[in-house]
Amino acid sequence: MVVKIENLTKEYSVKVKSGFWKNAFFPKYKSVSAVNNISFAINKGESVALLGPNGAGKTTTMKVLSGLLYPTGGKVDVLGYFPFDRERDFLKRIGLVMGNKSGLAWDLTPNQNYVLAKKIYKITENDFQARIREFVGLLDVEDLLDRQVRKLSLGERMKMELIGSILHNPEILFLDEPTIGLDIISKQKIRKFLREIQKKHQVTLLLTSHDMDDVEKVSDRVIVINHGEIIFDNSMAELLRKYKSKKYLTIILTEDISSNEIRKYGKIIERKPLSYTIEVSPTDQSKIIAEITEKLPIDDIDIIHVPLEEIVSDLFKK
Amino acid sequence: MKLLEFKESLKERLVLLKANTIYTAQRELAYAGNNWASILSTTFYTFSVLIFIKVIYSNVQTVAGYSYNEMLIFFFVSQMTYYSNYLVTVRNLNDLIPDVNKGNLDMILIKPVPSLYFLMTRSISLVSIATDAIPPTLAIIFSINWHALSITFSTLIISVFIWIFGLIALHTFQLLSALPVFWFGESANILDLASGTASASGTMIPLEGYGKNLQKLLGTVIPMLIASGFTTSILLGKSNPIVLFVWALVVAIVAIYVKNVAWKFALKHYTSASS
Repeated sequence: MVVKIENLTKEYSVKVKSGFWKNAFFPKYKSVSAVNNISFAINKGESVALLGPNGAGKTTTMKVLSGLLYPTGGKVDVLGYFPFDRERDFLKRIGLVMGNKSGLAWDLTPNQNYVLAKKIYKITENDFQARIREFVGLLDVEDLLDRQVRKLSLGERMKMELIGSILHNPEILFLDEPTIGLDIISKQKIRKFLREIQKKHQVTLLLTSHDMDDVEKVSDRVIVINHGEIIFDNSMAELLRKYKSKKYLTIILTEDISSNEIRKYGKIIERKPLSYTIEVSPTDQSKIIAEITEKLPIDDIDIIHVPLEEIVSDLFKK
Repeated sequence: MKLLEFKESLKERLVLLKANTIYTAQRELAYAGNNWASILSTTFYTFSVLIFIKVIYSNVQTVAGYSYNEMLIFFFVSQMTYYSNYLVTVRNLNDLIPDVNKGNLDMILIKPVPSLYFLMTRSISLVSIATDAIPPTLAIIFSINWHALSITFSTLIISVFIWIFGLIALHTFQLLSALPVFWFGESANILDLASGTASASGTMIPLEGYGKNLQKLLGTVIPMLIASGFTTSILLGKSNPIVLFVWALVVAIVAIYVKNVAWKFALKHYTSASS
């Protein structure tokens, strides 16, 4: 077991709104709970997604696990260390990537940044060169090594950030929204890269992301947090299985028809011009398709599983 | 074992210092045009003060017991204090405050390095020292009549140590003034207040210009007088070197202890502004 937390709580002080002058010179604060009594454990080599709506406490949990924040209560053990002690040996064994924070110095090139990291992490020249070659090859960013970081696009920078965060071969990699704002090609490359390093180097991944494609492609297990509490903790397969009793049919029409006509076949999930998405049960699926094809002006029909995004959103509502 | 650990730690710190210094130089050289304003600013200031001192001493023989030449020595030490303090402490603290405010400290705390040491050596600006500090300081050096002074080797060594102790104390004082950012999210004005006080009381009036009580206050709790005032007083043979050496040493030791305790305490309250 590489991560174990028991009854973790984290509270923040936030300013209470008071009068203008009072607020400026004698502000009052109150305690707000960001993480409330959560417990879970992660085994070596696992890839876990920490999901939740904004403000659920997932980033706070990740920051406590990486030693950035001091927990208000509970037990935290990562690789046998209390993270906040930030012992050198502990920090050498973890990596952190934050989608909207840069670990690379903007005025230097990625290469210059990596040389600084090499000194900090005491990476041997041979290992350093081998890892740079491997990671640069995987992400296809050879041309960017000697370009100033500030001149890189967001996607390019994120790829270089990723390389910087794993140059020292961490056992655990914490990823907070690693693909935020990236184009689809960059996202795909980063997801593939993360899976590669997880398999090849047995890196344990803990990911937070609002992009469910990240979660589906990178993680095997999902922990859902809402209002600071865990509401789901199981494998990705189990999460998807729970929703197998539902399927979506997207019907593309050649001419517009009233929604009442469509409602006969299932609950309307989405309506677009000349297109409806309805919810059906897998057992009725064939019968409904046959009927729709016969009675409606159909151009195309698409059968889809309930998207993960919706499954998670459904969990948040519970 | 302890000696071995100490050697390792020292080695690591030197490697970091070297890496950070190179990194800062690379960063500064990326914006070459920006350096011209700094050179002109420090040069203009130095020449203004040199003229100001000349004008003052055209009317009086001594100020606070200091002759014209002695005042130039004080100005020289003060400028050394200012450059060292500004280029190391103030610059790094000015970087620290927005980092804490915006949560960028995360990416530094995650590195396996002594965090405070790393942060305080992050921007050691050798380029700035070479361009901003050296030319105007040379103007002061050439203005001083060195033959009129009788500085012994032992006095010089004691003065250098006192100056270093003074810088340590000043550094801690300014760090403490920047730390409220961990609680309130901003402390730039508090740091400005501390730096302004240091600049006003520490580098403009010599030690002998203060009454006894102020000397005690500004030599301990608000340690502004040690780096420039104590050092110059010893260099010019105006104070007992042993007394001031012990005084400065004790203040520096207490400052190092307070600095480490305060830093650990502040980190516990770091909220890491969210992503």
